[in-house]
Formats: sequence, structure tokens, C-alpha cells
Amino acid sequence: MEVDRVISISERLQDLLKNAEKEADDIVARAHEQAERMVSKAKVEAEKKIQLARLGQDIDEYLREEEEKVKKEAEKILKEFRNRSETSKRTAEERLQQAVELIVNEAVMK
Amino acid sequence: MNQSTVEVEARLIERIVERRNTLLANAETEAENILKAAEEEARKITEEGDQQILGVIGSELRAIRDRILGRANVEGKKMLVEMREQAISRGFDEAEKRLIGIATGEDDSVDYWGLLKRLIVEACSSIGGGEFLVSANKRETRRLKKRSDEVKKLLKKTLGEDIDIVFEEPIECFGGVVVRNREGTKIFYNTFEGRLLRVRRRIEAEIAEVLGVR
Repeated sequence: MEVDRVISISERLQDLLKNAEKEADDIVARAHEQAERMVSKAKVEAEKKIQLARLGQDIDEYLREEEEKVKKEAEKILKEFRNRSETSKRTAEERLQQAVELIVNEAVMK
Repeated sequence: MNQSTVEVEARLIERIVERRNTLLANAETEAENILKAAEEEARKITEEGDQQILGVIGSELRAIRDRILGRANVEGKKMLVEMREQAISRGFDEAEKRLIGIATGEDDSVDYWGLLKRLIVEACSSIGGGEFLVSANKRETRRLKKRSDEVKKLLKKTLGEDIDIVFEEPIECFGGVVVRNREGTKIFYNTFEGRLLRVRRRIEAEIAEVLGVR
């Protein structure tokens, strides 16, 4: 009697395992499908954007992005110029008397 | 049902449930990896597409780059040129103050009377001839008139001939002289202002070099 009972439980557990295996397969299969959709969508969108770009359409975002990027580069360039200007200004201030002497000597024919 | 049978059953159930959970967990992990890989692939596709688009609209992008960076470079260079001009002008402004001091006698590092005579000689030599009209500021005109013989003697010594010199009405300047020939066809601005202008034209680059603002 007890043996029968154990066998019955064992069979039910085997079923449980089979169902779990099927569920696991379904999970993986759904992931594959979703992945395929994602890649396919990306391909379609990319192709569409390329075609539009070839026609000169829908490129504003790219142009804006490039503008933002280049503006940052331009800020760096200006910062370098400002630094150079400040450094030169300080040097000029330090050497002012030397320059004044040269100018005065030239003006008074020394 | 005896105790040992219950224990066997419990162990069996536990093992199978554990196995089930592992199966499902592995499946979830595999699914996550599949989706992650797909996301990565989609990202790459989008990125490659963007690169292709950038290639297609390259000329527009270059135009933006040239416009913005070109403007920044022009602005930066203008900034340096303005700074250079300001530094040089400051040098000349300070030099002008020194010259005013020399002309008024506040600064005796230069013999101003000797300098004034040299300025007249230089102007007369440059113009040529024997008759000159000399203008200076009020203070120097008085002094030149008072000591005109001394000036004439020096001119004769330098130019080698008798010189007729007339001191005209005073002019507005802070030092030096303006000399003209009698006919008024030749004029030499040897005022300090005039000299400073010529010095600036002649040696501005040298001054910039000294100031370190080339």
C-alpha cells in the first residue's frame, strides 16, 4: 500500500518536472522571439533612417548633435585663447618698464 | 504510514522542487542573456546606421564644424590682437607720461634743452635749405626765442651754412618742435607726439617682442 503511494507521488513529481522543462523551454523560446523582434526592428529603423538621410530628411537631430559637440570644442579653443591672452597680459605688465625705456630712448634719440 | 516512508517522500519532493526551481532559474538566466545579446546587437545596428548616416550627411557636418570652429578661431585671434594692441598702447601711454615729465623738467634724466636743439637740427637737416620756421609750445617758444643765437650757431656748425630761423606762434604740443621751410612746402613734425607716432610705426614689432605679445 505504501509502495503504491510512493509510486504515485513519484509520478506526480515527474509530471511537475516535465511541466517545468516545458515552461523553461517556453521562457527561452519567448526570449528568442523577443530578441529577433528587437534586432529586426533596429535593422528596419536604421535602414529607414539611412534612406531618409540620403534624401536629406530627418537629419536635424544629427546636425544638432554635431553642433553641440563642435560647440564644446569651440569653447575649449576659446578657453585656450583666453589663457594665452591672460598669460601674455601678465608678461606684458611685468615687462612694461623695459618697453617704456626702449620707447623713450628712441623718442629722445638716446 | 511509517516514519521512514514519510521521510523518503519528503526528500523526494524536496529534490524535485529544487530541480524544478533550478530549471526555471536557468531558463530565466538564459532568456536574460539572449535579450542582453539582442539589445547589444540592436545597439550596434543603430550605431552602424548612425555612422552610415554621418557618412551620407558628411558635407553638412563639415560645414557646421568649419563654421563654429572657424568663428572660435577668429574670435580667439581677435582677442590676442586686441590684447597686443592694448599692451603696446599702454607702453606708449606710459612713455608719453615720461616724455611730458622730461619736457616739463620734472624728469631730469634727459637734458631737454640739448634734446630740443637736436630735434631742430634733425628737422632742418632733413628738410634742407637755409630758412626755417620753427614752432614749439608756449614755454619752449619763449626759451628758443631767448636763446636763438645758440640754436643758429649749432645749426651753422652742423649744416655748414648761415641759417635764417624764425620762431612762430606757439602750438599745442607737449614737447619738441615743428619745422617748415620758408615756402611751407616741406614740414617736419619733430614734436614728441610726432616722434612717438614714428617710433610706434618703426619699432612696434620690437616693442611687442619686449612685452612678450608678438
